[in-house]
Amino acid sequence: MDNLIIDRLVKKYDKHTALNDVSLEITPGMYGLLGPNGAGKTTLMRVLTTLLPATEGEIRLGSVSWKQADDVRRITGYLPQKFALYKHIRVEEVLDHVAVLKGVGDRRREIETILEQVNLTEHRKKKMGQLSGGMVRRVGIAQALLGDPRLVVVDEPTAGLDPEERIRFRRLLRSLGRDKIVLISTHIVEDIEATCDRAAILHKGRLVEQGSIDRLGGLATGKVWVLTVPQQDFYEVAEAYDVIASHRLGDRYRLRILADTPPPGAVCAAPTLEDGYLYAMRRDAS
Amino acid sequence: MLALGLAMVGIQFFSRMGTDDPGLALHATAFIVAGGIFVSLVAGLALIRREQADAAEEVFGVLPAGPSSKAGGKVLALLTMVAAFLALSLWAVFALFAWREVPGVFYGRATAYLLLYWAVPFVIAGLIGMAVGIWVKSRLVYLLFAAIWVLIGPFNLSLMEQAMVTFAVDLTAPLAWLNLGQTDPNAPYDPVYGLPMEIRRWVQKGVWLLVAVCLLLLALKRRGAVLLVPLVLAIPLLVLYNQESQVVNTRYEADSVQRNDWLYYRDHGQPAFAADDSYRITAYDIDLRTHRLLQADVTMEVVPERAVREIVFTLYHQLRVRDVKVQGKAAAFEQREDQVRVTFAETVAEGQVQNVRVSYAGISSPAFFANEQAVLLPAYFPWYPQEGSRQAMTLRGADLIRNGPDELYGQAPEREVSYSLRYDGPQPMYTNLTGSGKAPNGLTVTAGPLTERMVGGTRVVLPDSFYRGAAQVPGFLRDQAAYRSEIERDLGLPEREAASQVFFLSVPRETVSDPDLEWHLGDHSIVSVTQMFNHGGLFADRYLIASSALNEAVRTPEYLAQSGEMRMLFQRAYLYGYGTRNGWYRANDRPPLKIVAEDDLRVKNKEGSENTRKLISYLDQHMHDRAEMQAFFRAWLAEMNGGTPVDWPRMLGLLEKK
Repeated sequence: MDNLIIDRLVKKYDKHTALNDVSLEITPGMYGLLGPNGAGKTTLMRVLTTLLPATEGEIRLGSVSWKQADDVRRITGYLPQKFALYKHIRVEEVLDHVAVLKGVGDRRREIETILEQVNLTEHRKKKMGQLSGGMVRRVGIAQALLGDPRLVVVDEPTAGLDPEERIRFRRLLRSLGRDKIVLISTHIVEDIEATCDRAAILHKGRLVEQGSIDRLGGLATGKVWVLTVPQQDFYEVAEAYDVIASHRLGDRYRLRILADTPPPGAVCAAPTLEDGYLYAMRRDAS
Repeated sequence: MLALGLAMVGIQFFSRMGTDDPGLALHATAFIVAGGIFVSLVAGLALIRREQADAAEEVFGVLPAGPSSKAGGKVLALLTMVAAFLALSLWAVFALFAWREVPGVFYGRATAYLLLYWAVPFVIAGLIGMAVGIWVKSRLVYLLFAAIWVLIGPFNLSLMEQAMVTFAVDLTAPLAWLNLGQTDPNAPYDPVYGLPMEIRRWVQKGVWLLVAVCLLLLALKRRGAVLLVPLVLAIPLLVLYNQESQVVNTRYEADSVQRNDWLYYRDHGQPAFAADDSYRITAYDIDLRTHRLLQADVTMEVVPERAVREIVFTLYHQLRVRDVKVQGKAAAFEQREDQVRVTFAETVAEGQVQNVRVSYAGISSPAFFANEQAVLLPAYFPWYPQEGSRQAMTLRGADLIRNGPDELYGQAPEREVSYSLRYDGPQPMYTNLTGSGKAPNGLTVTAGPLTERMVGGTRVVLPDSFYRGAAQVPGFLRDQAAYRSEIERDLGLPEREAASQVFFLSVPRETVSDPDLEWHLGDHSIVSVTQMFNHGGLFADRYLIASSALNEAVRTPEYLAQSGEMRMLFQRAYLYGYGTRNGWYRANDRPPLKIVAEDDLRVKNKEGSENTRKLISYLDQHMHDRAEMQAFFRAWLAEMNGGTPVDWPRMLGLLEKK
């Protein structure tokens, strides 16, 4: 299987540069794009899905070049962040409609397979307006998978879902990346951590880091500390250190702190992806 | 929305069909068209924003051919909506037509009309709504829709009238082009012309449709070859649109029925060349073609009555002469006003017959139209070269007299002339020319939604749309003949035979004061009708028929030179006596003569009222003395024909003599 090559990609809106010299090589499997709001994730997604043309640079997947938008659209599936589709028609009708537009051959069989895959077979007759948020996202994935695309792009996959639906949806996403490139863009680190093997971090339009999830988490090795403080000391410590997480334990707080040197009484902790991401952000900002 | 629209359609058609006017039932639907155009704009917007509302825009945006497939689907959805509305509207119309026993021919015409003035504009508006919806994402779109609706709706002229006056600009022509509905929403249905569906109107809609498709393609960012298709298709349509053709406008534009000739003859009252009685035309060979405009090749046998070098004949000024041949050779000619002067190569001796061939083409008068849809060319209108040098029409006060300066059947020679006529135009054609090939007072040619039948021994040509009024025609002809005969006897006028052919045509009445319902042309007569004759018993209106017969009987240049007030007084006085004698009026009725007296009093014309009362008193007193009445009205008519103006003192003098 071919890798997705993004080579020196630039996207400018008038004077504003949304993507600045971004180069990535994405291998088949689940790949995450992390970054805060305004980092350029959505712009990159929109360029990858041909909704926006690139200003400079090149993208290709095997023999398919992004200069030929129609060719790209034949190999791409897309689940945008805002997805609802027509509320008054049934799930299977929505999928059939998309399948017609994608030119899928044996629509009935493929729709059945995908409904099975996303666990919506029993809801196939329901109208879109009757589905829960998680189900709608699953329909979104189903429509993206129609036509067996080589590249699936998913934008903010769990936005708006309750915790239970979020877990279920992550499980579904995880199952997709066996034989295709699935690109997930999100600012929710847990989504990437739960689903992806590799990820890239974008900040202000630039590529800050890329690599395996372990490597990205490892960026913060020796920089993450855990300190337990009484309730009345919480604000004092929060002002003095870069507290990246806090958990209440009775009348005390357990704080997770990002620092080059250990705060008094703190113990070193194993870094997570989120720690690595936040470390990379702080480093880039400074 | 659909149900509301259909309810309005049903009510509209129902109210119009109550007066047996299937034409106006369709004509008077401008507000439905206006509403439909706005709804279509919004429907186009709703369709194009459907994915936006359902957060699906990006899903389809990344599918292969997704945007264009969706756009195509939306256009199909728009077409389906319009087709459904059209089908349901037609169903409503047809149901009412069936209920009111409207002839079958109207079903097809209604379909074509609704296609042209409802369906196509709604589709165009829907496409524009889509294009604007793509370009403008904010709520400004509704403001734009309002502006577009004003410009492309059937009320655009009415709505822009004040602005045009304020800014002193005449936007009539561009607004007429922009108007997707019927040009004049208030136009009455013309029983001869039918519905306004000339080729040019279809072409205009075709161009509009292509413009709307182009706008949509541009909005969809489809450029290149796809965009070329409508642009290329528009070329032949624009060429067709720009072909010279007659489109009959009924509003008050410069080229409308009401104003075109009026404006011309206001400034062109006199012939360009002096009267010419040096020759006679004894035979015509006419090759007439009416396709979008009138074209004719007319060969005349011209007989000089003295030695002549040139002759002047009369031809309506908009019919432009292309060439003239005398004895097969090109001859010099000059066309000015309603005259053409032909100069012979050398002086032609008296009695030396000349073969003069005149080829001409142009747009006929809007009142006397001739195009691909209908033809209305009465004999008294110089649509072919006629003897003499006269203006085809003349202004008398604010009235446009369309049948010549003396109102005596225009330029017709009132003697037998041979005609041969070949016609190529909308079928069927009806003319007064019979097997003999001769006519005494010119040639009337008409075509359009007309039908022919025999009533007794009279050949009657009347509009298809008179399916109810036609039943009253025999009674009308009988009454008309009886009134004419009695009027001629009473006034001592020579008796004239009733015409063997009667054409019921929508020729304009000349004045308000004289109900010139009928033009008697010897072999045929023309009765001026409107669609109202199909409903409400106008064919049986005794006063209308009798007054028309009276005006027709007494029409002389001298009589017509009298003031309108005196002519009206004569007519009302005679009919007061005539009607009372024949039991027309009941006790509480107010005959028109009494109304004159009351009106005079109301406007404080005490003297006029008093005079009229004296006249009424005299008539009441001698009503049943037929000889007295005949003598009085003959004397009065003689005064009217005396060549000097008759006023009240002279009129009262007549009374005193009695």
